[in-house]
Amino acid sequence: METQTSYLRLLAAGSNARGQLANGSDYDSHTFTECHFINCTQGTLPHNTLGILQLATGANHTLALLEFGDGRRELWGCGDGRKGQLGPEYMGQLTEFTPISIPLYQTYASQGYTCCLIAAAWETSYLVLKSPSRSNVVISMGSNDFGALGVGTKQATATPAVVSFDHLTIEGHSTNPDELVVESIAAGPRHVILHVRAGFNNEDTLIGWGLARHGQLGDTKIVNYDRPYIISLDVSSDPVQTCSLGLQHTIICHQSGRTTAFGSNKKGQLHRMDSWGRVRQVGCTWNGTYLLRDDDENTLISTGSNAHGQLGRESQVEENGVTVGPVEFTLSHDGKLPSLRSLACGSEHVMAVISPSGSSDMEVWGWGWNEHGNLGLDHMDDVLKPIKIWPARGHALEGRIARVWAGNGTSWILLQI
Amino acid sequence: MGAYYDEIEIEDMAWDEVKGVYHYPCPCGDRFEISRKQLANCEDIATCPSCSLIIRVVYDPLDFEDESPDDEGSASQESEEDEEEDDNSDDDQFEDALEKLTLTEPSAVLVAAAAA
Repeated sequence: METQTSYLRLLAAGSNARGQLANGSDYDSHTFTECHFINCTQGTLPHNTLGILQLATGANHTLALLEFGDGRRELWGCGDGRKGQLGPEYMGQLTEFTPISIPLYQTYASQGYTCCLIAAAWETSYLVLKSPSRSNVVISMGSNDFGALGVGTKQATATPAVVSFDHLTIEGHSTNPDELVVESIAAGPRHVILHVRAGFNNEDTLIGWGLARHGQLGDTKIVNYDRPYIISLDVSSDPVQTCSLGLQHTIICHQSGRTTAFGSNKKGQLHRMDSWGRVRQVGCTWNGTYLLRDDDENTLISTGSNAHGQLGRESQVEENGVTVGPVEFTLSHDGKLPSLRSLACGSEHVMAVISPSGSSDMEVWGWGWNEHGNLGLDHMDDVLKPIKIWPARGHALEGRIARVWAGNGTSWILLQI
Repeated sequence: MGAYYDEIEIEDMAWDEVKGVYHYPCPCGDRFEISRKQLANCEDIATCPSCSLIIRVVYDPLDFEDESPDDEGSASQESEEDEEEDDNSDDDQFEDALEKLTLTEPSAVLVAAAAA
């Protein structure tokens, strides 16, 4: 009898008012519980799943892009579908992960396109489809508040639509529809940014749309863009590595390790961004910014709102007081910092995958706002400095931590067992 | 700081035609909601039904001064190009009322009296 030597388990905790945790209910979960995948054995992912390439979270919906051993990819989703953010087939509520079928996507799939990237704004979902040697296709579906669909405002909400970039001019040339390559897509609750390569020289370009009045799309003169707009940023000498989006701010990380920040600084979320180099990973909560640096100390810098411990360190909580400094992880018994592997920022909480000093074991630590039990600690008190959230009390470390994600009052851990 | 999770300008809020409320995302996934009537009564606290967070709404009370219970859904929804959205939709309603004025004179008297 063939035994599966390794399998995946997806755990989630936190807000669940519309079933977005896929635990079969619409009750919040204050501990990490297994996500259900429809027609699958309890607690497991579909047969032959290799991994979850991307997990995107909106207000009350979740999208997961699964990859299978045969190279196939499938989009699964759960939670709130009332605005069409889960596609036209599920306009109610799903409490288990369910394969998402979209006729528009099927049309492209039959021409050889595969879904490669996904993102979610508040109630809007985005898919990036790719096919070898052809221009990428971006599909949006769901709410069109603040122009989130990127197709203008005459479009009825819900209906999935292809986002057009034909009206843009890159490098003085109209975009050639056959040449658009999307490197990444990132969405905050109210705006979305694509990192693309286009034109003769394959130059980096940032394209965004959605709410713009706080400057989060680089221009404060416009209230919002309801169609793609090129963000003016000189990246010729220092290409874009990643884009991270908060609620009203955007942080671009360049290959040199420096960052460009724009948008609201009302909570200090942009504070002293230009003074940090050697940044290798950036995360944004709604009102905060986190920089994981490639320095000897492997420091995680935090700045922004600290009203609920989101900064993970002591700070003077004073009117207009803004501080920036390293997140304070507990030192191991030999006085050393843990090694930080990756970061996931939710709306007002943060998770980090770490290895304790001198060990290759991995743990998940978390801190910040915890009112919906999203840190999985079985309580709802804010956590002001990082503490271990997985393995949880009473659980041995099973397998290894493959990925973590954080959403709107939700936390996700993918285990490879 | 203090008790508010945040202070939000009304231009950042979306209008829900069905529920008749302005709303703003709450980090828990639900939303802060406030009605036009509340704004007209100078109530500026919007609450989230699912958690303890509250926001204060920053707006110009003059934009909501002529609010009446029958005045529904007059704010524009998606594309808010300027801050005069309420005035524009009031113009639309006024134009509709003007058309009706030519057909039904008794209504004209009532409308004129209300607008005075």
